[in-house]
Amino acid sequence: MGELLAMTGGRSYGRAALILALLALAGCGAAGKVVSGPKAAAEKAILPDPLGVDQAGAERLIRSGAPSIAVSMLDRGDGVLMVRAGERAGVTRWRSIDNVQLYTRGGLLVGTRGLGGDDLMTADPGGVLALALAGQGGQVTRVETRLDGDRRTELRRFTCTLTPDGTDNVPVPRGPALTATRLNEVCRPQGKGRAFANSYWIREGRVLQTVQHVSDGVGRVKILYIP
Amino acid sequence: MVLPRVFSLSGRRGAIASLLGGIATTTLPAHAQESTGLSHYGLPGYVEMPSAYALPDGALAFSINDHGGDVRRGTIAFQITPRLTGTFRYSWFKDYSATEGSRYDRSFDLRYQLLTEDPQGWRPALAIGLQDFGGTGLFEGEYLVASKRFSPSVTASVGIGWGRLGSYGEFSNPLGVFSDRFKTRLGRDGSPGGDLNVDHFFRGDAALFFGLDWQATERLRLSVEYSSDGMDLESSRMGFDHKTPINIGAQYRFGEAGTLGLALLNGSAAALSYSFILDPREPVAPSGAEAGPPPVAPGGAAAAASWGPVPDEARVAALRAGLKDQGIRLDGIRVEGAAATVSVSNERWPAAAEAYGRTARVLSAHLPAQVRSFRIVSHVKGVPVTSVTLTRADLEALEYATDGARLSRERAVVRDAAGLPDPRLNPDRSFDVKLRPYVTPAFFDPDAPLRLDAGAEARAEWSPVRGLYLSGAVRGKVVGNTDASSRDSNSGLPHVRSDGPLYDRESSDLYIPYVTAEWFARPGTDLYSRVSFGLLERMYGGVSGEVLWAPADRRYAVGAELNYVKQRDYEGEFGFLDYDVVTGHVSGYYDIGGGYNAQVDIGRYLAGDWGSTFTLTRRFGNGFEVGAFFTLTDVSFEDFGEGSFDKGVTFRIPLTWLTGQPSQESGGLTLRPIQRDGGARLSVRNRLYDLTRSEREPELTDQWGSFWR
Repeated sequence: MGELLAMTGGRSYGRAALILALLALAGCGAAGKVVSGPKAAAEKAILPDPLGVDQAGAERLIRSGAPSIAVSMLDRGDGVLMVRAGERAGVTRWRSIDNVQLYTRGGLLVGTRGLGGDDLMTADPGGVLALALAGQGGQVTRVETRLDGDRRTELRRFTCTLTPDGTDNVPVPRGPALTATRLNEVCRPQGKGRAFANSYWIREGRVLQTVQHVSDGVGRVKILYIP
Repeated sequence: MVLPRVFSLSGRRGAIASLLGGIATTTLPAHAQESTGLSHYGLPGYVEMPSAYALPDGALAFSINDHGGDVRRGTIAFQITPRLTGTFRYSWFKDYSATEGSRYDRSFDLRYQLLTEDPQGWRPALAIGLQDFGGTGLFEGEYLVASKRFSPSVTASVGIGWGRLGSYGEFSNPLGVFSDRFKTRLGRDGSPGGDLNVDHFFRGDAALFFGLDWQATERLRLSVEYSSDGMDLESSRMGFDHKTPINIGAQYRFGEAGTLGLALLNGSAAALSYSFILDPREPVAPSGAEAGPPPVAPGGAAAAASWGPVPDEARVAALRAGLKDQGIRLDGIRVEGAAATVSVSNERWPAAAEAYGRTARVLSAHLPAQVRSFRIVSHVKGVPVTSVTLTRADLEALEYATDGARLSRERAVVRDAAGLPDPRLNPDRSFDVKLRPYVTPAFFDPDAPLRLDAGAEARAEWSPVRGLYLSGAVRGKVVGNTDASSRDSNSGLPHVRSDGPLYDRESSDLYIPYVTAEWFARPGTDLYSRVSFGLLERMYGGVSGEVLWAPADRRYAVGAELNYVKQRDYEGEFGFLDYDVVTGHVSGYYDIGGGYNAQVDIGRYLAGDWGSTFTLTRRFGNGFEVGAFFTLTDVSFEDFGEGSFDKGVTFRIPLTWLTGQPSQESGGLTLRPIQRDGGARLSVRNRLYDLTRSEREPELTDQWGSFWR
């Protein structure tokens, strides 16, 4: 169950061996749990259970028919279905079965959590949403934060140019493809960072689909708001 | 239960690809990586000769090579600062001496980049280097080298060398114009090694060397050099045939897996090498790969009064479960009016800020909406460390705010928790037991440079009252060869550490690494204390007391530790030997900034010697540590024996660095060229500075970027 909903994969044997060696070398410890049996104990000691997954919560949401999005990791090749887990202050929180989360505001990505180890912590896309909904091009400033390899916040600013690009037929899971106007956004860094490009497909005054850059480590994510 | 069928996108790739066609082309290509080749000495360079380049800042380079089966060198190089590179090398010379046979040698190098290269202009990189400056001198040499990149794929270097690097094509030392002292270089025969050879530096004849390399393809690098190393030792002692000063080499990079090299040395020997570079700032998951956090929630409709002052059991149980699911243990809660004070212990998160962030979000959901502020008190070993106060309004405003982590730190009130209210529930603490594997290495025995034991360790810990911890461990070796060492200590000092091989040989099948009672407390603001009693470590038992003064708003801390210990017997059970000693130190800690941490310990060591230890550690934000230390005491270099004084390098790798999953565990390793008895410290568990560091300022704020994870 849920194989398409989980975004985190298995661990390789090579890495497991390295971890085992490291831990063993360490002779280190932190507070543990009461466990039964040596095998279970060894497993728990080495790779403890993931925290805060709350799979049952996701299952409840799916059963209740909460809105969902189809998420594709374009540079990794995997895809996943996420359900709406909540909404507050204009931001919608989407989650997968294994509690990878995407945050969107007006259909535009403003954050990710647990997505491949290189999350977009926060994003302010500037005035892109208003321009896109109006079908207009323009230039905006985008501000994003991520954690770097030192786990420090790294803030980057981009100058982004939005350009209308005609219409496309967007395939959707049930029913015929939908026609949507397309806009492309090219963002160039003010200072540090790499350039990237996003695309938005607008239909009937709402964002139907987006392709957005998350981070160098994760690449681009495609989000289809399932009608 | 059947979930709704989830559709797959894989059947629609074609359509998607065509939709995205315009985007792929606008994504800019990654910058071409400018990698640096490593010489056989493990530093940026050519075949044997150095270049003036540095490794990427903070990088570790591991290399090993074999010269025609006669010489092997293994090197760890670390880019200490952007310009300063340090190395530790372990080498083997086959049949080096007619009387002693093969020779094992440990050496240290330093290189400093005086000038960085100007890629657009004419200025080359310029570096000065000391090779084997503190060892037995087999590789001893100094150099000054300039390097320039002439195209994206070609670099060339020219340098002048002294010592080993001034032994072919040599000429009278140009520094002789300043003083005749520079014209001659003394030999080093009979030195026990370890002391600085300052009176040798840049003395004697000098010679020029040249190097050139070409990055032929993305993976293949070709090098040629004119070597100023006459290979005199190898020629006279090992029959090496120096036919030409020209060395040629090829290196092939297998992506992440490392680089394999083949070289022809002086026209007469082939050398095989392998190296890889590890960047501590490239963990598997820079942001972490843990599951997403719970949301900030508006809170329940219940009146705040229903929570306090003595909250009802069911509500506390639900909160406890909610926190536990986020890796946080609830120790106590008190709700007064609109303010809640919550005592917690972080059991999982490497960055304390993430524990605060998740605790605050769980509280926002469980506590009534009327409760507007949360004061969260963190604990380590049962004692309060830091108090962080957050308001519901700030949490709601900043959860999705751009740069919200920094803003949340600005609005949080962070204080030392000593003496502040610290509510406690009845302890819900069970007897914790763990079973885990262990490995203990033994390095640099001339008969076998690396020996290992592996086995299983059972640990137990129980805290009957707050701050008091009773804990112990038992180890059973499953496989290993550390007991094969036949080298017994010849030390003239009390054998406080050098009998390690005896401990390995005579150990019982099941031995006790430690059994202790420990008591932790906060005697006052900024003060921490520890008393430990029992079998403190494998070789010593007794009593140990420590006090740490660590002001929350300062970069420094001062501690004092006093121990009375008796040496444990070799079996590792409850027996003792006759030796006992009073040992202790006053320690100063300084967070220099940029991840550099200095520590000085002054006091009396295990052999009764007085002196001080100097430690410099570079700690990356993700917890990866690389450090070096040395200890000078009133034991003379001669009495100390081989190595002259105690020194070594340390490494620590957090488990999270390797897995991306949250964990407070890490693996550590201390490499000493040789373990002797001078300058040896007690190895007691849970020293206060490191124990509390991640929950204290300034590290708490340094890691605040993880608050909204």
